[in-house]
Amino acid sequence: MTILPADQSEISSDHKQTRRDFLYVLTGCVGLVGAAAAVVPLLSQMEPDQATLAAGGPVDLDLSKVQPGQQVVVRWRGRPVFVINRTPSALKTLQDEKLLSRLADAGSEQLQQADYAKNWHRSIKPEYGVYVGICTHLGCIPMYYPDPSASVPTSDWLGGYFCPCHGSKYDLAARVFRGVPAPYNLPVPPYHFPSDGVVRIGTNPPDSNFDFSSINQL
Amino acid sequence: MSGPSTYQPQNGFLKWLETRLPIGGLIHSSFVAYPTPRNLNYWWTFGGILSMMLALQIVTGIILAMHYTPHVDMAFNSVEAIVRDVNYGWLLRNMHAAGASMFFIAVYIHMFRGLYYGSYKAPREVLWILGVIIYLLMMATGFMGYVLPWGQMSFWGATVITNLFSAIPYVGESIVTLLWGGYSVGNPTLNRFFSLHYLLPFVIAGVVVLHVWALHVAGQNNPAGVEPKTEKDTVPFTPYATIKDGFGMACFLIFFAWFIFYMPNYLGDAENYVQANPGVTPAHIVPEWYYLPFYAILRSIPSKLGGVIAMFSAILVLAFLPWLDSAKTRSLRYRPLAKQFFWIFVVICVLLGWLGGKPAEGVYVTVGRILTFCYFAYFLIVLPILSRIETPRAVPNSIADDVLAKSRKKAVASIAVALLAGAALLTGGVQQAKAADHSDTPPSQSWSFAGPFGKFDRGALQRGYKVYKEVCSTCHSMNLLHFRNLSDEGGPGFTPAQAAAVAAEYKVQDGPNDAGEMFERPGRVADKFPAPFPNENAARASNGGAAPPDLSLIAKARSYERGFPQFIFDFFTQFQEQGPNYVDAILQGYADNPPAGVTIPEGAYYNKYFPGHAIKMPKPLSNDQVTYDDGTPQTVAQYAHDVATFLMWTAEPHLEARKRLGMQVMIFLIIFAGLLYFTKKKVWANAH
Ligand code: FES
Repeated sequence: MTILPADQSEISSDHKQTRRDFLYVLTGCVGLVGAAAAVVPLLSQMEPDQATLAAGGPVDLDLSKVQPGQQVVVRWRGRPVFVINRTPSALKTLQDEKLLSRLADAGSEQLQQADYAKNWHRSIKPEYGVYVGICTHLGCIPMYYPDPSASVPTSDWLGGYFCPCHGSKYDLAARVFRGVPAPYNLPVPPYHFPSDGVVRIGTNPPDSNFDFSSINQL
Repeated sequence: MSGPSTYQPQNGFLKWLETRLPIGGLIHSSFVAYPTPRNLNYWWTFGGILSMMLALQIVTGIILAMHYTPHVDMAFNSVEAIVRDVNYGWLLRNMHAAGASMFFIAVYIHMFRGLYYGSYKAPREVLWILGVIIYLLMMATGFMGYVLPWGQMSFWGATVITNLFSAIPYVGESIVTLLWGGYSVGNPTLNRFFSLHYLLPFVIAGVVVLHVWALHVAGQNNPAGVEPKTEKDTVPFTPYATIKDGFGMACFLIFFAWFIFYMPNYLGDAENYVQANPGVTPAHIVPEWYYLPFYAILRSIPSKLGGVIAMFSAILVLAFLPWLDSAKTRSLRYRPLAKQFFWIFVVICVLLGWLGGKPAEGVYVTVGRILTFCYFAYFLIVLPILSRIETPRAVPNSIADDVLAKSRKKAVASIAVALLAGAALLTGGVQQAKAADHSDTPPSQSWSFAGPFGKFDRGALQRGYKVYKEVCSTCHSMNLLHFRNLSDEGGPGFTPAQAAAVAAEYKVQDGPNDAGEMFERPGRVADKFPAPFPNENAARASNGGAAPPDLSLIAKARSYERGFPQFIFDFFTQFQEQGPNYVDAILQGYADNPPAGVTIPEGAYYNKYFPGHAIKMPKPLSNDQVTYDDGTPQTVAQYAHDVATFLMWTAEPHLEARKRLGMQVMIFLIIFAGLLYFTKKKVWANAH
């Protein structure tokens, strides 16, 4: 409802005039409040529905399926999550000066992981790495090349992830290299080990309340 | 839209715009300065109400289309997912479904108003015909919309209505094939109906623009039926008509909200809460109430083609009304004879509507034929003759005279008549209700969730869940219920951890795994309750040939006749509990020995409340069968009451939210309508 202008042609006392104006303004305001309230359901229905939210719940993986040197990809909230089991030799390369000097964010200073994964192996247990497999450049899925090689996928490869779309490179802790289009390390999703042989992706360890949506970039 | 504009834009930008696109002038001349007769009554607000309803249907429809899946296997569940999982989905769905009925209520009032005050007469013939076209488009849209939820009535309504076209000679069969896109109503039909149901409202909006344009060229008719002659006869549209329309709309919204929040299933058919099944025709196929008069006409002609022709003619005859009624006097106020026939005609239409909902047999057929004859006679015999022989009373000289002559007595008289009629209905209804006590209709129980403040009894929900789990779930599936729902607000009040624990007790099939095999894993909260049988055939085979129905919606999918006039009081008392009454009654309706004269076939059991009395389900409950921890008596009556409560919740998990929001909306609308009323009075104070 629009606020109606007081009709000037009627000669009445000022008092009457104000009372009428007040009624018009009040009606208009109540109408506006109603219209604003009606917008709430119209917008709220676009939020993810309850089924979608529930389907985004945590996902468990039996770690016996991930042998040393192997990677298993788990779907969590529609995204690929890499779970890798790093060999002792692979772990050693993660601390290699030659590698570190070529990384953009070797110390994980950017908020791409919870505190419990802010360490040299970017994980809770050194051998198991858990990373969201979405390139921080434009969203392609990086490919897993765990073994060092002189030519595959590029020259002088130290082992890690290579994104086929525009050539971004990450190491085996999903840290991004310098001089590639991707700006950030791959994110570490919330995860923990409810028992020894199982990793649960989607919930933090009991002592952490890290908010995954607070990271820099997915 | 009415002659050169007097619009003078003040602001520089508006001036600039006006010389390039005179939209401000168009709006000003159509909706601000436009002169409207000053004697319009509230029946004239229905034009505005209809525009509002069209806008609401389009907005809610576009939203529903964001969540709906037009596929025969998914449509039914996607509608249920909207109601259960989408934020405010239940609200938007109720608005759209009840909105269709409101739209038709408003359009029927609008049409009868036009009929009564002669709004179809020169120079408004084109305006009227455009209205008939809008009405036809509305019928097509409403029909296709009703198919989309893909319930039993959707499917069989679609089958029956599309088959109407097969009566057309030569091309009929081809038309039906084009509608179906297959050998019968199926997935292609659903897809094209969805597409057209999305398209047609915009076509309606287009014709509405033409309708309003024609209106603004010819000017509005008015209760006196005399054209405005001087300035004194009219008032500017804004503020006078806008505020009056605004008040009318607010009142209509209160009526609408009553259905949305308190009676969402009152106008629908319980059968449509059963998913479409091309192998089973419901006992009694009824179209939506707004088609019933035409359905009655269709059925009263004993020939397929004849019935179809009669049905379509019943609508098309309206388009010829301006020439069938040639009386010079427009308003029936001044045509006493025609006025009486008008009210008879209204009664005929209502009776035809009532007949359309009755089975086509016995006396109903005869009455149907008589009423069909009367319907056409009104247009083809009564109106043409009356317009030639009737001497009308003198019409007022001008609208201003009419306003002065208006007396209050009439209003008082009509209110008194309405009250008397209401009282008569009430007494009739009470007697009917008493008489009904002796039949096998399920007795009405008292439910904590009934009425405007209804809430589920948490204890009953938890106990009902226990009965369901220990007894019902061994045979019946519960496909729409997820473990997470157990901890939803307004439900049995489990904590999320308890819901997760319940889920983990179940084995759920998942897969395929890397080896390509299906495997079992413990349930998660996101899973639905697993069904006891892998598919319907297995369920049928294990249960003596009758597949136990899914229980998710059973409390809304079962109902029974309340009869006239009881159903009218149900509207005021918000009675919606046929489903739980029925479930409760069935569980208690077993008797070891059927009464004399009733034979029960082998493999079936006698149940007092089951239609036909022979039910395939053996008596499921006996005293002390389920252990209650809270000291509640372990009787069949208590079990039945608890499980019916639980099933009402599974059928409508957001019932509490619906009633709570309903109360807030009602209070708001009543305050707003009150304010609009006083504003309207103040605005009109200086028009008289
Ligand atoms: S998306 Fe990975 S490099 Fe561009």
